Amino acid sequence: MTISSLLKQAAALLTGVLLLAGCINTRPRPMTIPCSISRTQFVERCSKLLTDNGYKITEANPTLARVRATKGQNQINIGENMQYNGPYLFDATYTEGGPIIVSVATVIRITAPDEEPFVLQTHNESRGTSSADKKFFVPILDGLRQACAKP
Amino acid sequence: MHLSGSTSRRLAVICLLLATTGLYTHKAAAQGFWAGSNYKNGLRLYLNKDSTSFIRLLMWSQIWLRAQEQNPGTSINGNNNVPSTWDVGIRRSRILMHGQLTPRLLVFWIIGANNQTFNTGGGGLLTGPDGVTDGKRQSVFVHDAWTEFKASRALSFGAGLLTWSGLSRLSSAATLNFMTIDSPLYGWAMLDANDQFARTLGVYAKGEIGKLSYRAILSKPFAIPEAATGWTTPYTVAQRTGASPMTTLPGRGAGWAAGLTGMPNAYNIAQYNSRILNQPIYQLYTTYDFFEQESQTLPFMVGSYLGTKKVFNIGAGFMIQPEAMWYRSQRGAAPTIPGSVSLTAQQTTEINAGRYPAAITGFAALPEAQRIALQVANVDTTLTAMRHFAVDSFLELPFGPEGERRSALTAYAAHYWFDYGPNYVRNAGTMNLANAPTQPGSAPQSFNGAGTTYPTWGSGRVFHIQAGYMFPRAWTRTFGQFQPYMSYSRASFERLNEPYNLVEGGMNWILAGHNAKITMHYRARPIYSAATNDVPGQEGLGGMRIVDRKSELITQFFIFF
Repeated sequence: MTISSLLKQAAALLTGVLLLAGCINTRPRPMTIPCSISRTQFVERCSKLLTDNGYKITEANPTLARVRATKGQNQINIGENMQYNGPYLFDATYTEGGPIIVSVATVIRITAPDEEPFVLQTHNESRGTSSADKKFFVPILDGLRQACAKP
Repeated sequence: MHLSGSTSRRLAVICLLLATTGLYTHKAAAQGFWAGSNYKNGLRLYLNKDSTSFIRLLMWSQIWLRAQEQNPGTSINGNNNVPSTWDVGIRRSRILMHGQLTPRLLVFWIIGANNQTFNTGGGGLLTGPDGVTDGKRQSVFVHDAWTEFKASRALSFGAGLLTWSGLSRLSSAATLNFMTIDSPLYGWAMLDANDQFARTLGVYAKGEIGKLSYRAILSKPFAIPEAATGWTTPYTVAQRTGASPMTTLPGRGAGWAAGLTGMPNAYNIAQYNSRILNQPIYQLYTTYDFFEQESQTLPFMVGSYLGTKKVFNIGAGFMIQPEAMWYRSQRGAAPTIPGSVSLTAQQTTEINAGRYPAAITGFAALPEAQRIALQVANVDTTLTAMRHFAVDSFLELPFGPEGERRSALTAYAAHYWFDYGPNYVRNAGTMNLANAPTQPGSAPQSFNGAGTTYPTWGSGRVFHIQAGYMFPRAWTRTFGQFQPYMSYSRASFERLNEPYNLVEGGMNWILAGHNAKITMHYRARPIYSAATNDVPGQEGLGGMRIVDRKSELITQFFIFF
């Protein structure tokens, strides 16, 4: 087998794997936080955490115990190179007595609350998310855990 | 000396302006003018409300003031055996435009000029009798022009004139945040040979899977003029017209690769194959990050983060191009002496000892027809792949809290295995001032060639390590920050009789991050003796040892925004 044919086969295999990995990146990957606070407390606490971390609240509904928020793109200049993260869509729902279910995604643009977002990538703190993206939602998850741990 | 009234007034105004500027400078320094920058993200034109669509513009100039000892026998502008000189040159002057239509669609462009000195502009109107143009009006050209489409974090793909390349971190080095004054060049393994200023025309894929980042590139190599590779057409009309092509390669033109300019007898020394047509360059570079992940939005890999990020990664890559190189080789296992050739006993002994091709300088007394017959019977052209592999590691370790007490250690190490074919070595010197071959009457040149060149790439191994430490701003307050650094390279090229060790050092005076800095750098490059050429048929091989060191002191004035 020549170098050329070996490299071509390797490239084809790699492309297939990456395309597959690409699909996995957009599947829903919610995170759960066990909690026992009231719905109102959840909405208040979650909204404050999001606002403190630069998010804009688009929905804060104590009846549904749901908080949705968006955060614009963050850009950092690194010489010729740059890094941009976001925009993010943060969606947290709470069932009293059950866990808080949090979904975080990078979306292609910030949409109106009634618009269907176009997800570029879903995030999960455990795997498949870069440390650069984690910086923008893990502090909120930690804050929620702290709030939920309170007696 | 008498000054007119108007001249006196002008001088007074200038003095007043200088004094005022001095006051403002003093005030600004007291406020930390050098130390801080409100630059943030620079010039952006945002095209929508959430900033996901934008155009970004950067411009920069890197200006070098140099004092250099020249290699032996260097001729500059008709001055022979120039021992040393100084100059001010433009190392890089460029404009970058980055258009992000959506987070998935990117168009990128860099235009600029490089390496202009007082005699290397090349665009001047005057051309001397020797064909050398003057040093004015350096040409501006497109460096990068590519488009990218993002499928997911794991896969983006694009095409164009690309900085994206494989092999190592230094192969896609950012030029705006070097820790050392510039790249040590090793990573740009095909620099301006079959690439264009470290860029190739190609397609690429990149992405991140967990903490693994990759970039894979398939490129069409740039054409290389035959004469530029050192190869030239055969030394007889007969061979040039195809009567006696010295190659057994199928489907090739006549008289292929039969001679080397300046070394017509050279043998078993690879050079770039100038007639390559359909073989691409395959490149890959992957890294695994242990701490924070580095951005791969654009290809440029950072030299030093100045303590703004904690990074440790290991990387590996390759650069492979089948049939990239060719060299003159032995046609058969045993030498052939055609019946038409009459050799002396000594010549026959040399031929049988394997000293191919022995038909030009070694056997000068042999009639031309017999020399050609001997050459054709014994010399072939062999194609070989270019295969480079590298492993490397980058470390950026910040110490202390963010702000003026933050310091940082930056280090990088790489090991290269270069295979350009047998005995390939290329000398390189950035902004080399030697603009003509050594004139008659000059001392013999070293293997390095004229100017400030030294063996930079070649078949063999190169180890490079660099490390620097950025002191806290609290130590120097308004005077900026200092980042001293050292680098060490060891190159073992198979054609040279001994490896070289190259220690370089310098200091960055950081005025506003990487956006404004002044760097001083010192290098004492090795000087190799010229080949002894004492074996017929083996010209260009043997006897090359380090005989001297020549120094170079560079000060860089650098601003980008």
